Amino acid sequence: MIVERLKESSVEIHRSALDSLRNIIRSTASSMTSVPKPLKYLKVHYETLAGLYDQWADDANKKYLASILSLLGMAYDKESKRDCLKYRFLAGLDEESVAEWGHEYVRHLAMEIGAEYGVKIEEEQPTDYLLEAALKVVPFCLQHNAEADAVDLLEELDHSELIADYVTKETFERVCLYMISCSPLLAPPSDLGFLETARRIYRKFGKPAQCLPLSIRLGRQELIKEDWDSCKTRSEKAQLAFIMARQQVQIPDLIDDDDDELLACMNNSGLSKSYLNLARDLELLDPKSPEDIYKTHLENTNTDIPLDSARHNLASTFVNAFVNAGYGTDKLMTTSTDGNEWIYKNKDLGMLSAAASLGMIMLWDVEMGLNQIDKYLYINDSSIKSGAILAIGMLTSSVHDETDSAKAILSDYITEESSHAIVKLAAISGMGMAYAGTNREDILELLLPIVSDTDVTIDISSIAALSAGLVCIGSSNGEVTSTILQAMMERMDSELNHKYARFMALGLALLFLGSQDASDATLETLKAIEHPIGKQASILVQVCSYAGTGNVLEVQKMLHICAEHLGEKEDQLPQAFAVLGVGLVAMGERVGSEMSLRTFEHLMHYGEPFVRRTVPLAIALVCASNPLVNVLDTLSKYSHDSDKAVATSAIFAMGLVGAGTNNARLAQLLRQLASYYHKDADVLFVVRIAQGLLHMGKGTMSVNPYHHDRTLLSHTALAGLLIPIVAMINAEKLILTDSHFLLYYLVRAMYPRFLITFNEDLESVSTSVRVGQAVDAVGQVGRPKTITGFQTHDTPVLLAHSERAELATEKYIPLTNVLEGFVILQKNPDYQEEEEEESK
Amino acid sequence: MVQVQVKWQGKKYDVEVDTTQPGEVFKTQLFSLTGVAPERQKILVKGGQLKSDTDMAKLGLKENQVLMMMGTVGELPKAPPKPVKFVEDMSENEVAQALAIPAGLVNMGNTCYMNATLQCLKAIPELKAALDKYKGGMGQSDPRGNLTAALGKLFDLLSQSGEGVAPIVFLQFLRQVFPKFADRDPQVGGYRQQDAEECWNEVLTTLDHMLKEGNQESAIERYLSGTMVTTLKSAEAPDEAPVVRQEMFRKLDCHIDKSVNYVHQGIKQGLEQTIEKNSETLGRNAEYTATSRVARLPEYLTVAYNRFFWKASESVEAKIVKSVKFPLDLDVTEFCTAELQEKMRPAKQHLRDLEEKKTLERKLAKRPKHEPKDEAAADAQKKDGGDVEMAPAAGESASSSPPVPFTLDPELKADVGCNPSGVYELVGVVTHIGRTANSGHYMGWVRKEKGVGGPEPSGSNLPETQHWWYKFDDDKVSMVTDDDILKLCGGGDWHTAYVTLYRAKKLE
Repeated sequence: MIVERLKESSVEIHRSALDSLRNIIRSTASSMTSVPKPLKYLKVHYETLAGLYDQWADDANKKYLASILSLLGMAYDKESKRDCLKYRFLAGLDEESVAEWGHEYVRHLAMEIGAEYGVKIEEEQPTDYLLEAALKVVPFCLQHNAEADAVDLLEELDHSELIADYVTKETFERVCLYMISCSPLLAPPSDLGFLETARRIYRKFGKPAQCLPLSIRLGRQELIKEDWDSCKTRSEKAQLAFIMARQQVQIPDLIDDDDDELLACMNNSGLSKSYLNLARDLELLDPKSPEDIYKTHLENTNTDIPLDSARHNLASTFVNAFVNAGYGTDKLMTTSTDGNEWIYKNKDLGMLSAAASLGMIMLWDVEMGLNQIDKYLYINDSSIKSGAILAIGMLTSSVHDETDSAKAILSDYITEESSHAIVKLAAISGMGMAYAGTNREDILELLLPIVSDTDVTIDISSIAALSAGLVCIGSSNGEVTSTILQAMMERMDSELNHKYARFMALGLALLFLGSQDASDATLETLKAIEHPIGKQASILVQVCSYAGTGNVLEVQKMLHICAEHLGEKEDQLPQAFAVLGVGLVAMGERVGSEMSLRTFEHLMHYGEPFVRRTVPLAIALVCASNPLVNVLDTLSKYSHDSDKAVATSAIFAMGLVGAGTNNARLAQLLRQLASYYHKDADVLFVVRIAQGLLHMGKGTMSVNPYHHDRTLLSHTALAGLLIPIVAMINAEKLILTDSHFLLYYLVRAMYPRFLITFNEDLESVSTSVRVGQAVDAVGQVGRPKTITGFQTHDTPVLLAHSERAELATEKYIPLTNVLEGFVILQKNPDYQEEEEEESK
Repeated sequence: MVQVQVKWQGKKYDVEVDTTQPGEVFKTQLFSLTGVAPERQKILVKGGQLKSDTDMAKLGLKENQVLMMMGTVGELPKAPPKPVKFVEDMSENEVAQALAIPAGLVNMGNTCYMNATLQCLKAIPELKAALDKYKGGMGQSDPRGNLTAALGKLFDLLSQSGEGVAPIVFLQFLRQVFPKFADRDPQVGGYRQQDAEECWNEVLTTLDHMLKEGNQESAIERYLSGTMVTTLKSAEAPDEAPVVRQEMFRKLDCHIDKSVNYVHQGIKQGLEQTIEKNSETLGRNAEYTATSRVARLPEYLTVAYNRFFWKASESVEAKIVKSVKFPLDLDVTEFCTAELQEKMRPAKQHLRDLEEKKTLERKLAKRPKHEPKDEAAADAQKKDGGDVEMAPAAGESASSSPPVPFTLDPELKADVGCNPSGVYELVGVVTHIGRTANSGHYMGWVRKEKGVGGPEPSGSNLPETQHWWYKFDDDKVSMVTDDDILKLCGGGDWHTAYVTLYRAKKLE
């Protein structure tokens, strides 16, 4: 009827008719979810109205009609002519009118804008008008909890950065959250673009603690500096320093030399103290002996040999080291007299590992640790001496003291010509552990000559390359790259066949960790190396470059390599590295890692023996310190594989997956394995190691390289995890014989999974927090809870993987949104004690 | 002069440095402060070390700069005087010697029956002593003499070796003396499996004969044989005087039928039999009950389980798999004559006292942990009333008092090699797994004496009251516990006790 009236020529009638039409549509559309009746009736008239529109003269009414048509276009546009958009433009753009027809309409409009943009770009026509339209839509979306749509729309128009101008105090958190969690799913370069935009938004609203992680992810030092300078208060700076210390970001000259307090935060000096405080709170200070971990009386075998088995003692050495890591006391090494005895209860290089275990036990406590280790430096036995040297390297990892003790002590052993080979080796690898991620020139000056010197044996040279890679991890340092490449080319083939040569390749790969396509030139050069190490290195470099990016193309490339069937003589290491690569690339985000786990099952079914042996290790990489039930089941299955090497790596993987969690189920599984393999010394050794890993730090540690609510990838931690895993490939030549000390590289991955709260004066305060399973709240409407199934504790508390904490009271405001590690709390000015209120 | 801070072992020392002097002076300063000898000091200055000849002026020390000192007072760790020997470096022989696991016997082709038997017999030190004394060599005309000599030799070999010993010589003589053990399976060609109990008996009979020295009884007779008194009576002829027979026995048979669940019941059945016999007074066949009672108990008592019976239908010796539980401590008093029972009473009582005392001691050993509590309780009791407090004290004094002196019956005392108490403990088991006596596998299980042989296996916390056992699976020897031994009672297709060897419980 109204339509009939519109057909008449009278302009006045038109106006009122349109009004009533609009009202009818609006009132019904808002109340019903199904297609509103008026719209149904109007369907037949759509064409007519469209015709009418064309006939009408250009005036206000025409625009009005266009607006209605635009709405109707959403429903009746059959040939996808984007009528909705067309009429919208004809009706003129302003925010009010866009909002007029409600949410559904806006979404549709956004969709059409995107589609139109695609078409126009293909036709190479100007698209500015579309952007203009989009910018009208965005504020509506943001106001109505549809930040996802807003961001998506702008992304489709390739102008995601513009969102920063529209966000408000209420909406920015949600927008950033969405953008950050989207970024791994996007193709470069928009992924970085998203992060940058999110960072800009945070900056706009003055959240340096939120900016910093993004700057770190972007990997740009100047941004980190910018964040640092943007801090308004000292405590904010301290908070940033804590985050940087966790990530091991080193930027020279950021803090004045005499600012002890901030330096201490940055240098992690308080780590040992805080860790021990945590241990005291949890009543974990009593040292544990390996037997407490094995619980052999629960195993079914009772034919334990009471003699000194070097293998058994070596396992105990490692277990003791891992379990008491960082506590400063244990039952084998630090007791006044037994320490010496215990060292001598190990054989040959076992003595190295035994002496080095001191470094693990005294972890992070430089002052006390150095004095414990000192006496072993005077011993003539080169194994013990080198163990002590390695211990110093471990001791100072992730902490930096003002006297630079590691360099002070170790450099002598490296430069001295007369040093025994093993002493040199230990000093070099200790250097790598201590200065990983520091990018320090003076350390490189010590290491690089050894890498390039073809007169030193390949093992030392390889470890030097590895250490150099660790020091400059992820920096794509050109000098180091060319030195390592040069060394690979100059070395003889027979030398490159050495079991340690792979660490040269790994050292090269670490340089490019997470640097994506920066490694392309190096890959080209590697093609020129004929020896298989060229291929090994090129795969390692590729996977490290894309580590944690979830890049699907890379994963496919690696899977392709895995699927090849090699001849007898061909080098199998590249395949093994490719398997690791799948895990390494996919570990970054959740969907990818789940997918990779499924892929691994296929590889396990159809893969070559060598591939099968690596699969459990790759699983460990993806799920480090995250004992998911299904993963444990899978690994437990592999641990009984008929191929002993598969079983060995599966058991080691079980240790890593449960590292530092005390997972009871896993402990049970490992005990069963210990009885099952009690006759096989090799496998039993690995079972023991796995048990040690499981109870690492008495269950307070994590080796997962992701931290800061699983968003930040710690390069050094990843390297720390990767090195033992690479050494577990062909374990019978490395870990299971004389190179067990490589396990100590895990020290770089180990970090207490605690939450410790400080007040603004950096004194530790206790407050109640809720700890629960993290919930993905991205893009959810309303204000969803970020944790579920929580329990309330007082800080300091332990956080498991995939757990989150939030403050239970409003008494404090944390300076960072992620409660993990060290967090500084600010008093909430608005908070009033409840008692006070009551008294009023 | 520059003031610096030196950190050492968690302490900070303020030291004034004279920059014109070499580093040595500074080190001596530190020596006076910390007591660490200068040559043992490592002083760390910003990524470098301060040496004795370092020019302090060139270090560019700043006021209050922090230095770190490394170094310890006291002796340097020394290597232990005796290097530790690792299992990995030892040969199998050395390992076995270090562990003092006795050697096993190599299976020479279905000879596990013999291996198991010999391992158990070896657990009798008296037998070994007697064999050592045996003078005859292996070149005698009497093959039984050779057998005896060969056994002595074999036992010697076993105690010296760590690896399995091949009992070739002994086996040869065994087959020579008892041709039935040389029986071959015509189908397979190899030697047949034999009955371990038969072997046990034959070997002992031979030894008994050969080890006799003049008129003296042999060690076998002394330590392994007892006397049995059998009374034949008939209920049908009550007037007839019971016929009493005395005979020697070397084993108690445990009969197995449906009603037998424990070894006691089986032995009892073996000792009370009904036979049909011609009665002179009645002039017809009558039912007689033959009741046997033990008049002398040997130190080593063999209990054989009649697990095999001749199944005519299949012409095999079939096995009764039924579970017959045997105890680790066996009291056979009830099978003895009343006279012997009376004689043994004091010794038995003594054993019981000993046992009680041990349990009490163990309890006391556990006690100290709770002592404070006890004291508190005692204090509370004191307040309640004075007389109660005496109770715990009285109990304790009883426990610590010396065992009641007892006098062993002189006759028993004079009888070397008898069991004066009637109480035995299990020391050896021969088990069989399989369905017939002439098939399957035999194994020997021998108890390891506390403090004898190698160290106790660590790891599993075996209570003090329990023992370790050696399991001799031919040349494979491993260790098991009491619990595993008790599982050998049968009742399934597991190793089942066939012959058990008990030893008289020691009186001290």
